[in-house]
Amino acid sequence: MLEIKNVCKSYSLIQRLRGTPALQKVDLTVGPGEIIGLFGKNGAGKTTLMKCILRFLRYDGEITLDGSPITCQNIERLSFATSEHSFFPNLTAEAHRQFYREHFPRFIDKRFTGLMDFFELPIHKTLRGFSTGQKNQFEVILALCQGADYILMDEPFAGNDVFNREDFYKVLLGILEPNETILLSTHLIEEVSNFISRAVLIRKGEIVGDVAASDLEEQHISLMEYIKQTYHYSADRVSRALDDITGGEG
Amino acid sequence: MKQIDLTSYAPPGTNIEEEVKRLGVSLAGAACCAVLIYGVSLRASYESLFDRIGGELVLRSDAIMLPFDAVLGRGLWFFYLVALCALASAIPHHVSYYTGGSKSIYLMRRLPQRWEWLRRDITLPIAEAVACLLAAQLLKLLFLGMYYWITPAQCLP
Repeated sequence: MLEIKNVCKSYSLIQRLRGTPALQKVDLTVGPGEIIGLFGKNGAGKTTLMKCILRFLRYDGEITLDGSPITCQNIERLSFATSEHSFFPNLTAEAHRQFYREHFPRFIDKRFTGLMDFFELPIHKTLRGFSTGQKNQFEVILALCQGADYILMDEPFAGNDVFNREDFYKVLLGILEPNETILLSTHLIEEVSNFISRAVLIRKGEIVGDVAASDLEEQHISLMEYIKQTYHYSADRVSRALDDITGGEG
Repeated sequence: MKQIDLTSYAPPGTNIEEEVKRLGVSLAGAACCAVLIYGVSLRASYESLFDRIGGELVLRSDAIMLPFDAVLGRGLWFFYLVALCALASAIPHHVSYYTGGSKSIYLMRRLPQRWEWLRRDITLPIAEAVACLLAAQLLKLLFLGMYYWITPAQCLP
């Protein structure tokens, strides 16, 4: 169980003084086997939250994994795929496999080979020579094959075409073990709504919504509708904006 | 002789051959400068032991050679400079390696091996600096040998 308790994060004193921290009093519990979609506008705090979980950032509050703080002893239970990419550009895919085998004892070699074959990624070419879409795929493959229990993905599909993404969702659902948990930050709400088990909404550093997919289904509300309701999205904001810009002409 | 795999002591994907080559060139340059400076100084000190009488060099009866350290002077400073540059440039270069082209720093910071990141950042620069200092000492020994070989026994300080 990944537990996030009362986590606050400010990047600057000004942010703290203005009362607009990047994260404020975030409480979240992530259980094993969940596929959680983390949604929010740009700058809402999704990436900051993930970076706090992974200890990339200092924060106030508490984040524990099965009751223990996240340290070098248990960090291997978390993996991370980011749109910024965390691989070594000068290494080949094969060299990355060797690196992961060496440093992550639970690395899943069979899954790595299978995914590399499925996506037809070149094993002996340096990552620098991959296309953006291939880099994204490889980034996610590494995160999935590390052997982690909690797989954090921060907008991993930016730059991939829709067919690519659909293939990936299907493969993802097929290969996940019952104990593996995904925390996926994405803007592709409608695409992921079919397979996530829970949606968490974050706005201005606060969790403003947390709902199970099954509850939405019972209430016959789509995820997009739920998000719009939670965000108090005004349907006529576009027309009002256009009126302001054009002065009501046309 | 068993080859040491240097790749595990540098950021993954670093061009080790290029680093070794760069160090070799720097050491060669420092050695050339040291030999030149010491050669000129040694020659000047040696010639000061003699008087020119009728076109011939005659050893003065009271001639005493300058101490070795004085003859050596700052000849080896280039090695110290190379050692300093290895530390001052290679370490930041290795650190910045993880944020150029991708953010592999995120991977390094997630490794269960706590000191892996630091080990890969500083090992080669420190080894390069040590190599520079060792080379300087070896050359100093060589220069010392030349000093004793070239100086007449009665002129030694």
